[in-house]
Amino acid sequence: MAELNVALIGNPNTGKTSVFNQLTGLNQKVGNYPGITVEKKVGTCKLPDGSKARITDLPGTYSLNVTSADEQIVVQLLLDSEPESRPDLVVMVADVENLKRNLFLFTQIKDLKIPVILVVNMADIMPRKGISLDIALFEKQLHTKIALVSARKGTGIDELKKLILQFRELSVSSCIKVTDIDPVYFAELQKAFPGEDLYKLWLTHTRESDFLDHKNSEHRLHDTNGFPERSQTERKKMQQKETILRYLFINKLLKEGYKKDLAAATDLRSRIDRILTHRVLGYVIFFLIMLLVFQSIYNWSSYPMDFIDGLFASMAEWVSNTLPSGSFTELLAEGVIPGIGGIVIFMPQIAFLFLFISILEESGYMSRVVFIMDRFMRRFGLSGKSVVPLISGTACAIPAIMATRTIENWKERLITILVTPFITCSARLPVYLIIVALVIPDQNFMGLNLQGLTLMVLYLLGLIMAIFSAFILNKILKIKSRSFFVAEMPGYRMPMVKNVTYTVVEKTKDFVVNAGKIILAISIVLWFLASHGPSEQFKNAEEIVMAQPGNTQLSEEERNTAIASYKLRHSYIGIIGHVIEPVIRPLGYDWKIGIALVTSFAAREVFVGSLATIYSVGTEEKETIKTRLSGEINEWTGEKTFNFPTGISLLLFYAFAMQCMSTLAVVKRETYSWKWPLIQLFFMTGFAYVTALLAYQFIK
Amino acid sequence: MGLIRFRKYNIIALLKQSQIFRKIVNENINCCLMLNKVIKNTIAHLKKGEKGIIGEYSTDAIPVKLQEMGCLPGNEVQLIQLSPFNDLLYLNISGSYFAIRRETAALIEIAKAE
Repeated sequence: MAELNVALIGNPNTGKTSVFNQLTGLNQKVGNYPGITVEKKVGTCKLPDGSKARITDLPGTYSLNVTSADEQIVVQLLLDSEPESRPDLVVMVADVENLKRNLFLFTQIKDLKIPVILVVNMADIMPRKGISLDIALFEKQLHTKIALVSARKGTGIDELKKLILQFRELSVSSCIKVTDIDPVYFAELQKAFPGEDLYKLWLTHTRESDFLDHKNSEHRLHDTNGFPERSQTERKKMQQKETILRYLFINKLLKEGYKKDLAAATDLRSRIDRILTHRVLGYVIFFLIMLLVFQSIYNWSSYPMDFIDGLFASMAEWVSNTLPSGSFTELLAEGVIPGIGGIVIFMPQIAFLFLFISILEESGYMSRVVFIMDRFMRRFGLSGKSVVPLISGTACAIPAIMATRTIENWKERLITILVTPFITCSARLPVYLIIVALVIPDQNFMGLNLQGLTLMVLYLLGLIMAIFSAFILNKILKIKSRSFFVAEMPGYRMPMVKNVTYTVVEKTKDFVVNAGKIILAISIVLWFLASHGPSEQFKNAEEIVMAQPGNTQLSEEERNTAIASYKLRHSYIGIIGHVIEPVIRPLGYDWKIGIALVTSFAAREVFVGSLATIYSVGTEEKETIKTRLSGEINEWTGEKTFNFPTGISLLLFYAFAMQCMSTLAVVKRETYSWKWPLIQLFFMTGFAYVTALLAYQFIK
Repeated sequence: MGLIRFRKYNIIALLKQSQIFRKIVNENINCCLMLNKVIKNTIAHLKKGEKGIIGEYSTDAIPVKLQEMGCLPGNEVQLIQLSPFNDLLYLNISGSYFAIRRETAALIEIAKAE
């Protein structure tokens, strides 16, 4: 038998991901990066009889009536996809405290006639909250099987697995009669589309696409088969009728089988809310939390980073001393190891960032930030919900852009997508850190470390630029889309260690593996290009250098350096570098930086690895990247290559330029056209070039 | 003004209780509207902590999602918290907690509960 295909569905904030983690353990794959463009988390779960089930964790959704891009994905999977990829079974996760609203989605899924198991999560809090549930009654009325689960405590998961195994016994009858919404309408609908399922027809006919770009949104069922479609107003009236019908059914059921002691429930929540959403305190707390996050990213992660840097330097040295010399050893010591080192070095920072972001999301605090920031963000054409992408953007723009799917308004969403890449992402960090370390003195100014201060300024610069361009875009973009905003305010919860750990491990792994692959490939290519050359000059470098007058008196070490740099100049990479040099010289860069600039278009973090590779070719000692770069002399000016003006110019260039192919790909996917990513690319990189040029010319 | 407001509350109570008074009620409302155009209670008029019962509203203006979250005629609504600058309203509608913008809230009429 083929693997059982199970879709995990549920409202946001019901602990759906925790259930997913409990079911699959670490056997999960997250497609966050293009190339492996999967938008859903898939994991395998071992069932009691030894067979396996493929579990797909779908984005949280409140309803099958599509009003946001996240819901679109869910409905697409359940309705539109190929029959063989449609799930055999839906596991719907509900939160015991919010059963009413959760059951709403449940009754909708029931109408699709797919077998559904209802998971009532957070069952462990039932005694404390005074909740009692008549399971037998619920199972009978809802035509389903119920698993009482506590993902936090790990209870009930085995029972759930047993239920999954017996999914064929589940009833597929509905909870409400869809035709009750409007018998006349549904009779007409059935006549026009005979043989089609009525509820599916109804869903496709009422689908809203306000959250999508209208022109590019995927086809709707325009083929009416002579069916007299009703007006938008009437359809919305019918939708209200549907909602009321469903709630009538649910309320009746809850009245009979669900008891809750109201006194215990809301107290703690309102007390915390009063502080966190306070009009002054709320902002102070938010600011302090952000401060703590950035503090930890810089200060705490510098120790493991120094360690990793040193480790890779000594590893390269060990390889070149131990292995027999030859081109393979050279490739390892000069190409692969420095390249990988350049990426592994900022694992600690990525881990810290995702640690904080997932704690903030899990605890329910992020929703409060949305609440206090909406007013401010709206002035710039953004939504309060843009805060989440903008904060996640400090880790990586790719998940951040995917996080915009919760924004209901297309214009606000588009603006958020377009400005998020300005936010200083972790891939800029290695570039910033190395350049700041090279050109900014390690001194204190008014008790603050100058290097740290520079980094803070760079972060602020990114943020200001994001907000400023949002403001401009808001004025320019002529998109009419209905503005509405509904944000759930979930209850406060202690973040689950397991969930947080999984997020941190997954994201860090993803980052290292995916970015690592690109960087590894680029390092190898670069190394090859840098250590081979087409011309006679390259091959005979030694003789040519020795023959030059004045070079005969040099010490052996100086002579070797002279030969190495002569070779590099006439290697393939040297030739390419010199071709592009005229474009970048006004910014204060030499051709080696130019090469790194071009290769880091794939991803910013490649910059450091590329420099490391280019500069280490031919040198004997394997120093740390920093010392290697600081000794570099610009052949035009005779000064240090990484002096203050060049450094500032580079920092500005990386702050603004769209140096990330993956982001462009994800923007294309989320906006359904190449138009927006191309605009983004030209605007951002153009702006970066001009700013870097002005800065260099002024400081110089 | 105060008197008219007072009468309005009674009107809504009556409307709920009995059909007989409907005609009189309608006349009264019309009368009120003529006298003073601003007498209208919506969620946006709630004060912090206050509760109300959701009345009828135009389904065109209200997003489906809001209805699905429980914002339906007859349900109880409580204003939990106002965001800074009073722009967002943090509501509890029959056990469902969420925030909406003031402009949306102003479209949903309510009868205030004591």
